[in-house]
Formats: sequence, structure tokens, C-alpha cells
Amino acid sequence: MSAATQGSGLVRTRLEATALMLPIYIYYSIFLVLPYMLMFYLSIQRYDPVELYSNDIDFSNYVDVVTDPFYLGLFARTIGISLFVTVVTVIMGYPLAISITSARGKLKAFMMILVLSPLLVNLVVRSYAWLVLLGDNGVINSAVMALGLTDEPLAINRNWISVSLGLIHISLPLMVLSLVAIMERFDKSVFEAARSLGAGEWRILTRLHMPLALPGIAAGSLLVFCTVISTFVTPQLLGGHRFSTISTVIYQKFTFSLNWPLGATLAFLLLAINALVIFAHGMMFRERHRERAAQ
Amino acid sequence: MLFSNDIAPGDAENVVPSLTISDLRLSYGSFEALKGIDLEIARGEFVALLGPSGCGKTSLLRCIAGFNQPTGGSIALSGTDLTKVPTRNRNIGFLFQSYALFPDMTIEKNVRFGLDCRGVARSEAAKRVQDALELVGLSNLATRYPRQLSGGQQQRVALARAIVIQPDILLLDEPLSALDKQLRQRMQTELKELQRSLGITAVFVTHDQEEALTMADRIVVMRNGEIRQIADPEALFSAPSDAWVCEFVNAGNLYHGKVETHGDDMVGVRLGDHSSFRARRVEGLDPADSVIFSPYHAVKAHPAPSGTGLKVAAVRYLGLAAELQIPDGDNILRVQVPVAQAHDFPVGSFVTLSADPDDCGVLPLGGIAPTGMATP
Repeated sequence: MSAATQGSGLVRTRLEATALMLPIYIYYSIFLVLPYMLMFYLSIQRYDPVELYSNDIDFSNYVDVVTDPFYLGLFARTIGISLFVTVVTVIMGYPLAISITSARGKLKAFMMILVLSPLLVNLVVRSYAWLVLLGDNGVINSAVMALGLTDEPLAINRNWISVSLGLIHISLPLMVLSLVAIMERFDKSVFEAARSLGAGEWRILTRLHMPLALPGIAAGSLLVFCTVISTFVTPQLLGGHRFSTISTVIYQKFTFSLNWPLGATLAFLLLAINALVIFAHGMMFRERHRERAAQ
Repeated sequence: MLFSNDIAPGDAENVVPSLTISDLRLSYGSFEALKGIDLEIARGEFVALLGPSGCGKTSLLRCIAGFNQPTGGSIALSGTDLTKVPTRNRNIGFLFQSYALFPDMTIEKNVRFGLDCRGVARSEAAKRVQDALELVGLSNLATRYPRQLSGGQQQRVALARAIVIQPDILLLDEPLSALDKQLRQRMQTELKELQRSLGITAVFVTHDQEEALTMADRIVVMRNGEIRQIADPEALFSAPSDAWVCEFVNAGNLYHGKVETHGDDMVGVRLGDHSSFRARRVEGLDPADSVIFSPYHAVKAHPAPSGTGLKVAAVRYLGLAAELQIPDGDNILRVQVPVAQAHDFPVGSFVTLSADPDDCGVLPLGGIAPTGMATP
């Protein structure tokens, strides 16, 4: 075969493929893999008040964290609020995704823009907007107190309520996009078939629609959970000192207590949780995908 | 036996109208998909809705199913007005082109779905599912999932799922068009036999005239949201209602030219120098706005001495018959001869044609362009 016909594709040899990928390999090696390795190295050293960290290498930081009720509580709280936000976004996002999928033309485009609009505003700005709404002197409390419904501000700021509201706000678009993506692929005649066989809307939703949407629910949940569990700005601004999550504590360890080894340990444990969740998702849905691919 | 139906299908003396559609209209904005459809379908009858894409045949079927809400007119099933009844209460069976099986359910669960909706007891449901699957020859695949089945098997499951609920009417939306030709032909026969043995009323949408001919007791030809002709297959071919229908079902040659009156009861058209066709005049039809129609069987070809008559330009083998393509003037005449006689008419040989005027007819143009009509 002549070189001319072989050259119809862009990449001809393994060497060329590697050459093309080289920039991205270098980039990831220097700016992702290397920092991770340094962080991990940090996490297995000891905190030292004078030298910041000393070269006593062991896993004592990890042992300290998983045996300390404070950190166990922190992990439980962070995982708990992430699960809560995930469930709420599924419940709120599902009907929204259905109505977006069934809308047409301009209405559909408008609804999509509306759903995506939170992503267009900076996270810090959005969080401060929530503070304006939820603060002790914020819009809601001023209104409630002006109406004489209560004398003291409602406990809706710097606690799990404000943090949840902020997290739901940033993660709902991720859920809706995942759900719309799968619902767009549904064969509508399946639901029409069910209707012709005498099925009511509830039966169609629970026996057909939701099982079919399950991969989308799972993908959206994964996206939301992993984003929420590691997000920093929202819990930092809306939770303050009274409601901390793993990421805000990591931030404190690095910037205020200067306990870098402990901060690195927490960061790696957070990474481990995320990896575990992604792995579990992969295990659960790999089988299904394989079956569908075999179709 | 799943069904009992003591009225023989097609028994003209004893027809009980099952489905009555009157002045049915459907519009999407300014587009009229259905422009006043009137149709009566007898119990046990198999009716095909035939037409090109966009003619409204699927819209009509979906209105009967309740998937589309008509903008006017009414649909009644055995005298009960269905127009306001939601789909789930209509007791219909619907077959889709995409099969529309429930992908996360086994075959057995798919077929049982309609019975579960009706609250049929578990043991009875199991028996009926088994019977329905046996009827379509798939009882050994009950535990499989739809994706593990071939297209033909999937459509059989969809059929079992539709008939197990004993629907009053079976609606089929091009259910076989995703299958390859051989399987499609076999399924046509199976479907037709099953429909006949169950005595179930069926409305079948297709754009394939052969399929309509194979399966239907009556064919409804539609175009632009209107019914152009309702006829049984034989009548559709021997007496299409206009030139458009004749072209669409390919019923025979259309001879376009200046239609002239011959005496009191004959009209004729002269084609080129060598042929003219005559037919009995039809009362009330303007000869200037008409074409002469001759079904394929009406025209006979005879070998002629070299240099006289018309010349065969091409021969096309159709199976049992061969089609001679014979140009004359602006028209190309298509004449069918038995394949065994095709060697009498090689390309370039000369022929004379004859047609019995009693077999030919005069058709209104029916809105088709009057040029190039008899060209293949």
C-alpha cells in the first residue's frame, strides 16, 4: 500500500500518536500527578510546630483521623449533606427534566437557559446572594420580622439549611442535564404502547419511565455527590464557623493551623471517598451497559 | 381460544359496524393533517390505510388510538363515542414500527403488562400470557429480554402483548417496515392469518401497496389528508378512482393525449402515429380533463413484421411476467406478457398492440400533472 493512501488518517503510527499526546502527558504529569504525589508524601509526614513537617514517615495521620470522633463526625456530616443534596436534586430535577424533554422549540430553549443560568454566575457572587437572602438581617428575616411572625431571626443561616440551599442551587443543573440527556433518547412509543395497554400515568412513571431513566439518575447523582462533597466556596461562605465540611476544614488546616500533613491526609481521604463512589457506580452500571451493548 | 367471534369477516349481509369515523379533522396550526375523514369499518375487517408519507394515514390511526386529539369530528367504537375517552380506557392494541417493547422487562412481563393494568388475577394472567406467546410461536423465549430477540421476534412479542388484552380493535402503524423483505412477507401472511382466525378488527397503516394488497380486505387510499378511494384490492386495480390513485398503486397504463369523443358511448386518445386507445365513455366526466386507463391485463402485444408498428425499447423481468417498454410519441407504454413469451419480443423487435375497450376506462386526472404520465 502506498504512503499516500495510508496517510488518509491523521495518525499513522504509534510513535506519531505518542508524539501528538506528549504535550498533554507533560501537562498532566507536572501539574496533576506530581502535586498529588507531593501531597501524598506530605500526608505521611508528621506535623512539626517549628519546621511545619518532619520526616517521620508513617501513616499515623490517617490513624489519628479515623479514630478521632471529631473527624468521624465531620466525615459523617459532609457525606450526609452530600447525600441529602443529591436526593433533593433528583426529586426536584426529575419533573423538571420531564417537562424540558416534552417541551418544544423556543419554550424548550428558554427552559434550558433558565436551568443553566446558575452556572453562568460566579460561585462566590451566588453564595453572597444567598447571604443577602438568608442572613440575620437578610431579605427573608427582615420580611418575617416586619410581619411580626417572629422576634428573633430564623435559624436559616450558617447551618445545614443555608449550605444545602446553596449546594442544591449549584448542583441542580448537573442533575437536570444528566436526566434530560437520557430522557431525550427515550422511544416515546414505549409510553404510548403502555397507554394503549391500559396503563395510567403513575404506573408508566414508576414501572417504565424511572427504570429507563435509572442510568441517568445514577450518572447525575454521581456528578452531584462528587461535586458537592468536595465543594469549598459554598460551605465556606454559607456555613461559616458553625457548619464546616471536609473541604473547609482542609482549608483551615492549611492556612490557619498550618498543619499541612493533616490537611493533606484529609484531602486524600476525601479523594478516596470520591474514588470509592465512582468505582461503585462503575461496578453497578458496567453490567447493564455491557448487556445493552450486546443488543 | 383467546377470542370468540361468531361473525364471519367480510360477510356483507351481516356487517356490524365496529368503528365509525365521521368528518374527522386534525390540524397542527395552519396545517390540516386530516380534512374530514369518513370511514366505517366492520367487525373482523382488515383495513389498510395506504398513501405516501404525509398523507395523514398515521395521524388517522393515532386519532383512533387517542394519541392525537382530533380538532373536529368523531370516532365511535360499537356505537360508543371515543372522542373524549383517554387511550388507556379505549381497549385497543397498537403495534409500532419500533416494536416499543419495554426494554427492562422480560418477554413474559411485557406480554403480561396489559393484564396487570386490568387487575387480572395472577394465575389467569399467566395462562393467557402463555396462550398468547404460543399463538405467536415464542413460548420458549418467555424469560428473555427484548434486546436478546431479533426484529421479527420482537414484533411477534409486541403482537402477543397487544392481543392478550383482547382489544376491540388492533391498530398497526407500519409494523413490518423495519424487517427485511423475506421476513416481512412471511410476517404479512402470519399476521393476516392470525387476524382472521381471531376475528379481530384491524386497521393497518402502510405506504407499501403490495403489503396493503396482501393483507387487507379493504384498502383506503389517502392523499393530503383526504380519502381518495376505498375499495377492495381487486376493485382498486380494475377501477382506480382517478389517475393519481392508478399511478400510486401502479394499476396500469395511463394514456394521456387529446381525449376525443367517438360516437355516443366511446372516447379515445391517439398517442403517436401507431396507437390509439378507446374506452367506454363515463357519464359526467369531461373528456378534456381525463385520461384513458388500461389495466395491465387488458393490453395484448402481437409480434409484427420488421419495420411496421411500434418498437420494443426495453424488457424488464418482473417474475412471472415480463414488462415490455414501448415508446410511442411522448408516452411509453408498458405491456406485460407471460415470461415464457418474452423471447417473442426481444429489444428492437416490432409489435402491434390491442386492447379491449370494455376493459379500459376513463379516469379524471385527480390532480396529477398531465405530462409524462405513462412513463415508468
